[in-house]
Amino acid sequence: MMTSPVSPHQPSRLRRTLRHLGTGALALGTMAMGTFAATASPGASGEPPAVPARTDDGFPVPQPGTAFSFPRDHGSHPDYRIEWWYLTGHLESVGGTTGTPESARNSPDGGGRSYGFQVTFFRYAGPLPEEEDSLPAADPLAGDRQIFSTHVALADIDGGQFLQAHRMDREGWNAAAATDTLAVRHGPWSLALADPETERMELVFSTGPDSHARLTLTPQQPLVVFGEDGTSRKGSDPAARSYYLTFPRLEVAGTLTVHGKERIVSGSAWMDHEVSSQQLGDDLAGWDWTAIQLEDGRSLKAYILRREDGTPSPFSRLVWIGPDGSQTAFRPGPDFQWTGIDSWTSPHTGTSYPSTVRIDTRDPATGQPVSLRLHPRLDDQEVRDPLADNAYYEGACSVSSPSGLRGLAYLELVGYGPHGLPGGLR
Amino acid sequence: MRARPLPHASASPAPPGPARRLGALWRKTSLRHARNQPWQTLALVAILGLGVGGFLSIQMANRAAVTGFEGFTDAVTGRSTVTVEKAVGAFSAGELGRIRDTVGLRPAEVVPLVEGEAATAGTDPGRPLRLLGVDLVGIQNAPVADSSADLLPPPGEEPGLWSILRDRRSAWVAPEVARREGLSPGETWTIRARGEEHALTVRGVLPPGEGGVSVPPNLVVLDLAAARSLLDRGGVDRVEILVDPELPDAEALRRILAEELAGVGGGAWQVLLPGQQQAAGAQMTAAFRLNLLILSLIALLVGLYLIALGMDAAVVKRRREIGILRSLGLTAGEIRKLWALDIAALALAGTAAGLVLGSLGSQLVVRAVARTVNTLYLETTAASAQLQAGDVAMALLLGLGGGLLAAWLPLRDAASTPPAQVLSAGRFRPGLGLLRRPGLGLVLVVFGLAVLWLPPVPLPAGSRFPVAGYAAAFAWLIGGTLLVAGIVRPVARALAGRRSLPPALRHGFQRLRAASSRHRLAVAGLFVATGMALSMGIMVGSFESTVVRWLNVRFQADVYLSAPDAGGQPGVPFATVEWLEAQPEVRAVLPSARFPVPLEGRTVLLAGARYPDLLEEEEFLWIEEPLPLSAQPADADSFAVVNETFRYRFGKGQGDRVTLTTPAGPRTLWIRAVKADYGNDRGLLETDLRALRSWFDIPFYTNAVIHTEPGAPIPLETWRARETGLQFLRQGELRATALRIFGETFTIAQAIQVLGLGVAFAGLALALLTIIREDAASLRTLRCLGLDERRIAKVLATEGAGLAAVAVLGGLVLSLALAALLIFVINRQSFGWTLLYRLPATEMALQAVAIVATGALVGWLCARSTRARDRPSSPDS
Repeated sequence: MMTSPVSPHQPSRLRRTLRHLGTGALALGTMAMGTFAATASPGASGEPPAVPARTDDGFPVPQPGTAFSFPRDHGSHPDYRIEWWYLTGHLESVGGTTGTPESARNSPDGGGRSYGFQVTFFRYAGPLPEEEDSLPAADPLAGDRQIFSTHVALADIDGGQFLQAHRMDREGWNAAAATDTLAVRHGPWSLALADPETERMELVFSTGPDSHARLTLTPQQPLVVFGEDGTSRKGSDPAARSYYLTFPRLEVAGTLTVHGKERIVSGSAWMDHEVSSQQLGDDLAGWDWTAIQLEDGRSLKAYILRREDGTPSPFSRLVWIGPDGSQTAFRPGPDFQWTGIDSWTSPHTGTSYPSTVRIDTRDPATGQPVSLRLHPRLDDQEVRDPLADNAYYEGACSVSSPSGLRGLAYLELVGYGPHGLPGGLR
Repeated sequence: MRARPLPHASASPAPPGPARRLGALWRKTSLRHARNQPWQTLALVAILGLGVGGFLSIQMANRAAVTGFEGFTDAVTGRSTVTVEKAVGAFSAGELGRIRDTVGLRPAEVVPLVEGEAATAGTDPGRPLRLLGVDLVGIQNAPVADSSADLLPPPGEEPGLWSILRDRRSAWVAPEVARREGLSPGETWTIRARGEEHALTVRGVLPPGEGGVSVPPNLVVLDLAAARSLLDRGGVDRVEILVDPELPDAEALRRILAEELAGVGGGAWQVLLPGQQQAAGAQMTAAFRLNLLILSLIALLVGLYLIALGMDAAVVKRRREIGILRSLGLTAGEIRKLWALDIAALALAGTAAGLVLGSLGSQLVVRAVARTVNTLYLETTAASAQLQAGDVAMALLLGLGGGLLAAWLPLRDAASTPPAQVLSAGRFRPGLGLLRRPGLGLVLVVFGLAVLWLPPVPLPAGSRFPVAGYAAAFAWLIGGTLLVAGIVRPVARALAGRRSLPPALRHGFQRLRAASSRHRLAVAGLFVATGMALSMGIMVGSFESTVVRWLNVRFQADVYLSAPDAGGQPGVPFATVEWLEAQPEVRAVLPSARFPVPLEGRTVLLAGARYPDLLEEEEFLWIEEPLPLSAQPADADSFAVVNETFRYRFGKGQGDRVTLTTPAGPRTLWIRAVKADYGNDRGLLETDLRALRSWFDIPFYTNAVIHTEPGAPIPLETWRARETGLQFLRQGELRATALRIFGETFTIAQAIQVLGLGVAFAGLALALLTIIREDAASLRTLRCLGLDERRIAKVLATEGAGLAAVAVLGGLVLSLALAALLIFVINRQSFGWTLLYRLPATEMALQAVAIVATGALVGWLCARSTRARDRPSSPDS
């Protein structure tokens, strides 16, 4: 049975606040999927249009050919309207706080228990004033330029529980993101670059009164930059693009406490960092997105942008990512088909999600067709977002195929049920 | 003897039961009387109501003051918080981070708050406002529902969140503020803060508090950034740690967090749990509530006195009826039952009137209470007093019980006196046996003297209950009553024999020589009321004399510089003091910083002053003269001068040591001297300013005194123009302000004094009317003996004045004793203050003369009123 740490008092107040943001702060988890990259394949509309310097409301547009500099570009880009740091991962306990994986697997205190987690830190910039300097100086303790919103979810696969928490704060003493390195802090939760050399990161979060995690994440594969010339297209509008950086494979180690019981855990994680000022097009009804980590070291990112008429947008993509960071992308067609083969209906919202998925594609290593089947490791992984009166599915899945490919994935399903697609992302 | 049935009863085919018979009798006698004499009945009900209402109003006002104080904290913080305060200065972003890191991943929300004072501007300027700055976004992560901060408008409404956050003028006001100022959302409203006017935009009216928590009537909520900007705060004033109250281990978590935060903050942070906050509030009001308690009890006595007189009057007025009933065969027991029924009906009506009067009165008294509490402590919400079930029960007990008790003795006399004697309107035989035992009174007075040696009882909140003082007060009140009642006859006997006195006076004293129980009751009541009223006068006079002397010593400088209570800077900047020191007219500037710090589980005021200079420039009222600095022990970090309250509360005086927890670590202070200081009742610990600044991060001075060069003009307007957020006051202005504040603290005492005097006058008039009405037969005898009306009037005036004189003389003695008790025992044990004992002799003499003159006047008026009634042609009509 799922338990939620969200106070019954919170939803209406938080929802009200987020609606006031008015910038598309809805369906927060969904934004993390947004690699609308043309990547290695040609653009959907042939000759790319000129990229404007700014959006209609004055925010800068990510420009092709931008040279990234790290660790600075792991940090925040507050001039842009929207930015997020999205992490999902699959953990396994190694037993108690001192055991080893081998000894712990059969230990009575829970060694070998499986978990999934999602943590997304969002930053939103407020509307720009019509005239510069018309705003008073921001209060360093309680700013009025940026708002941070964070979603945290933990799937206790063996315990059959899905824990989640959310919070929102303005920039200031309790929420901030450094601009020179990766150091995001929101209330008691944080993500920070601990070692610039290895790009090792530390993540701290909690999902309730006695459930929390302290994890170390170390990249095992190179950082991937999606999109043409370093920008990822999101639609036909030339301003709808982002800087999109992904660590497809992070080794995770740390401690996880669930309902007061602390365990040493290890596993693998995926991290996206995306910066933009304008997101989706007007004709989208929702999307299905996944990040797959195969046991052979390769990864896939695949998404279908669902249009109102039910057809997939031409900006939908499937991207194979090699252990060396190489990318092979397919557009919807013979080499990329996404089919929902079973669904789960939420007892909380009544929304039905096609949470068991088959993805048909072509393996770039063999050139042979491959059919990947994603199956949720826990049925109830619905994120009910009290901030936006929205719900979406963000669930840990197992991956298998007749050809023997196996792995783990996170599946994101947005725009189902009465909630629809958050318009603010358009 | 068995009573014969009444004629109408024998005619009944089926004899009614005792209850029905009693009811029928009551209708035929008492109800008929009430119809025939409506004004008498109404007067009796009014007297009962006044007695009940007086007591209730003070009780209700007391409760309203206390709950109002507690409610303020609840409304602002909710009830599930750990409060972190700083001894001095504001919390910086770094400190907020330390608090957040200490709380860590545990389910608690860190909520920073800014608080400040402001005042209304515009058409009704100067009304105090309390500004509260809270992060409108962050507060929504709070796990509790009873914080009143859900202020954002519904989705889609303009202005949106960004507009509100960026508009530093957005404000939400308490319903009372909206009503008083005529505000509605969207309107612009001007307030005054930090010496400047600020235009705010009213975004909404604060919702009523949840969970019984009321919104303080003068509250104005701003976004944290707006409040910091408006109040010019460098950080935040206070941090609340909100713990979800629904957590099963919420209480334990609060305790753990409080302990950890106290450890992290060192001496710089004061961490309070909810219970401790209430205890702090209770401590702050404990002494004040004790004073209200004693006033309530005295009011109870006065109420009983009024009820007794009223009932006595009722019995006397209907003595003929009692005699007739006795003649018709009713037994004394039946008459007592009939009258018990009658009195119960009157008492119920009187109680109802008392409840109404009490409620109305409490609304008036509560304002005085609120003003007193505000002046002494802080803003409260003591704006209304609610009638509770307990009040109704108390009113019934007082009205019904007091009425029956008070009427019992006169009724017993009337019912048991033979009918012929009753009908003859002769005097009752003395029935109040207790009032004829002056020896017992003497024992009680001695007992009161003996218990004075008892120490005060310490209360949990850190106050002390002066049990000896109160025990002695009541022993003296009761004992004095018996003594005074007992000396009426001996005094009258002595005076009546004096041939040198005019015959009319001698005749008057002869009447008093045979004083009845009613005379004694009248004297006793007048004695209590006079003693209470006069002692209050002495108390207030003594306090005022003390304060004036202290102010004369305390305020010796030419100009005083401080931050105003409302609408100004939070303190005096260092730069201002430095600038003033450089002015040619200025001989010396002596700044001081003061702030509350925890010490041994209580709170004291820690102060820093430039001590060597201060001793040179100013004089002090020393309780214990300063020891030389050479006597300071080597292990002491600095010296301290404490006030009398500190010595009393902490039991530490000259030569003792006190260890303070400071951000720089523990610091030991050696107590060098004890001085008189009536500025606070929590205890003052004053040390060298330089030492204080090296231990605490002090952002500004609290105030400063300026000594100017002799004869040099003081360019006050120039200074005021330069430092607009600060308050410069000349010596005279400050003394006047201080005296006004101290005067306000005794508003309620003065109200009680007036009430006591009013009761004294009314009671005397009522008692004399009763006595003279009872004694109409003897007046007729005097007339038959040839005394003219003028001489009869003189006789009765002498009787009235004699009664009043005995009561007033006794009351004077009682007031001197009670005032001494209040000043030397109760006040010292409650507040730790030594006051001067000052007699407002002229005022007291005038009051005494007025009471005696009233006695004479009432006697004279009674003689006139009975003249018409007692004409031979219409005897006893």
